[in-house]
Amino acid sequence: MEFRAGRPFLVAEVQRFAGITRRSDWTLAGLAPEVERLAPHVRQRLAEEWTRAGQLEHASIAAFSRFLMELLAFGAPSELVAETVSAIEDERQHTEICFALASAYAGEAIGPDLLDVTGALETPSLARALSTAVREGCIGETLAALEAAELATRAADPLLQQVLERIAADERRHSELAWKFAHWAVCQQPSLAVVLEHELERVCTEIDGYAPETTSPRAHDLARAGVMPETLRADVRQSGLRQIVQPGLGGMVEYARRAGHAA
Amino acid sequence: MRLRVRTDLWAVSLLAVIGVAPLAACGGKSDGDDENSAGGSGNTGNTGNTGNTGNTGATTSAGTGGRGGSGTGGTVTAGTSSGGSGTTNAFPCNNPTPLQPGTVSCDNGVVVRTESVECATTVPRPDPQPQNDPAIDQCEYDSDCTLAPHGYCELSGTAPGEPPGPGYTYCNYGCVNDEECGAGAVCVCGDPIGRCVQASCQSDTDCNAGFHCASYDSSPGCSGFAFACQTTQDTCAADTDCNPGLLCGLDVTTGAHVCQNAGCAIGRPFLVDEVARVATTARRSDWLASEPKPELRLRPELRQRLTQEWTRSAQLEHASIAAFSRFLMELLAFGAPSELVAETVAAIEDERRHAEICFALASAYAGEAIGPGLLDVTGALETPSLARSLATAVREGCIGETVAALEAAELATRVSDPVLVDVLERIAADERRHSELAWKFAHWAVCQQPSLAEVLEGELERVREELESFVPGTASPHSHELARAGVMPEALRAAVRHAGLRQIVQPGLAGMIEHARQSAQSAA
Repeated sequence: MEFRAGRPFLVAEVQRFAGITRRSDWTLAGLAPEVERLAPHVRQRLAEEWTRAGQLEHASIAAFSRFLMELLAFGAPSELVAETVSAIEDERQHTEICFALASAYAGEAIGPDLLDVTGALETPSLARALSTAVREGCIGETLAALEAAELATRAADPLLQQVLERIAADERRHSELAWKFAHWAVCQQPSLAVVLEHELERVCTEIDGYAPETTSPRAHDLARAGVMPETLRADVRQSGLRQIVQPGLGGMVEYARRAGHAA
Repeated sequence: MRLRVRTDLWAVSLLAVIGVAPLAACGGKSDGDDENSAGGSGNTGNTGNTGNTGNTGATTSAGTGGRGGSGTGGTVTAGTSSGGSGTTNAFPCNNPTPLQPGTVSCDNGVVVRTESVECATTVPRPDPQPQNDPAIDQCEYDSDCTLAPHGYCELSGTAPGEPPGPGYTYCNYGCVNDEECGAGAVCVCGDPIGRCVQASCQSDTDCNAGFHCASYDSSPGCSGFAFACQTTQDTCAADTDCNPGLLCGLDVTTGAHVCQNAGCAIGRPFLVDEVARVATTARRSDWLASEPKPELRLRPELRQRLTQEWTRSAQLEHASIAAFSRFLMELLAFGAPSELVAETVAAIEDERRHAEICFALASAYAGEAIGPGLLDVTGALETPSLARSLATAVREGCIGETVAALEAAELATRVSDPVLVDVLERIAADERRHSELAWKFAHWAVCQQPSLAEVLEGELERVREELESFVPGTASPHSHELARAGVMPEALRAAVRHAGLRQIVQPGLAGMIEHARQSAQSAA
């Protein structure tokens, strides 16, 4: 199962996130989801889902911190810097929300343990940063936003709806930030279109290989409880890649080519 | 100049934040002072930090000045005069005037150690020092200071040449000869007694023929002076030999007096391998806050100076964004409390806004858009180590931002433009929160690993060394005008740093070390 939340923290193309530990300082106070009327196995599933979401949101803080340092290294526009700083704060709050929900479902305090950041900041390269931004942001956060928005329409608990809507709105802004950065980067160096072409190729391969699965009878119940069914997740991913990521990357590649020619 | 910010009260507040008791005493070490050499008969001079060299300028390595050639008239004879290497000292001591026994002052403000002497002393003095605050005052009479030989009671809060003002008293420990200072230091005579100052030479006789045992900024832009032999590789003798924004310090690898960037200013320094990094500057307008519109009806040279000052500040604030970003990643690596993470994220946003404000001011004074260029972050994030992060947090935050906050607060009380007052007050408040964050992190780190008290002890030792080598600067005739315009005079900057180190950093570190020791004992 692949979980999506926040901006993935990729180091050497491997996603990193912290382990978990018993601690209560990373839980937002006052969040009390509906727990009593849930079946034990659903509760456990929700605890697992929100724990993993908490871990990923927590890792996103590091992903954006690194991105911020890279923006400074590249002399990027202040607008991108400002939005990245806001994103860090968003992810911090998301982490506290997710761990609060996870703790409520689990019936015990859950928080993040140590996060391995070794080797996370290499000598900045605009090409590598662009590639990472496409994978972490243009793809990762676009899909995360879509998943959260989708689940918000299905979850029965009003509190979960509210949380998911908020996360969806924030992640959407973050994905827009990644797209803006990608656009700025290829404006700076139109030759970076090759990076986008490579990423686009990967996306197209995934889209072509997609085979829809049959929705299980339990999928609707899971979604109402606040768990993303795998089939729905796959559908959302396919939709996002096809309708947002592919045309977006395609448009930027074309833009970069024209800019390269004009130059 | 007397400080207007109550650093003592800040210290109380800070120590309350980190929950440790202040430890005012620092063993038997000498505790050099700035503000009040007590209206005595002579300061030991300064190294040229007299207000017309700022903490400004560009980003790169040291510039050069160099007047070259030999001076005219009355140069003091240096060295052993035995033929030597045939090279000429490009920075002779012109028109030397006696300063204190064993030292002369050259016309460029450089102090030369001509001989090792026995210093006079009036310690212990029979009269008491004025008492101000019984909660802070450490002593009343010299005889109260007994932790080491030559103890005397000194009054803080006043600068040389100004009437004594509200301050507090503390124990200081002097010297009467070089032997008392041990290797690597000399006893510079003064009133009421001499003080130990870092030195790699005792007098001109230790230097090559024609070269002096001359002073340099031991911590450019911050405070203090020390002595080293001049060399043929020197590019300066005094700050006035350097390009604007650079100060005459010592290259520790070559031993030469060279122009260096001032190392103390606003924001959290972005240290990589102990070197503060900042971005270059570029012509761009996207980093300009719309808000501050300062008074521009100023003399051209003052506007230029303000451009340099605010450009430099902006570069440092901009680099602070990276410093806090790295710190944030380290906090996650250590599994630090969420409170520290939240405050660090807020600090990043503060520094971003500060950078925009400072670039806006710099651009207004320059009459053209100024923004950041590229910032080198290569090698900035090593495999996290709690010990290293602690040392960095102490230097960047507990010291760097504490001093930065004090500087901004102090300047805010002196500047005349209300726009600048607002900016400085806001920066001071933010930087103060950031320094508290660094102290909280340090406290958390030693609670996690009491053995890290060793790191704090090392940092405390550095602080003590800096305090020991401190000698107050002399306010230049333009200091008040500069401060009113919004430029921090070097003498005031040095005094603020010294007060911050002595009243906040030193007791804070000592308190945390004690806390860590107690924790270790109770754990055992």
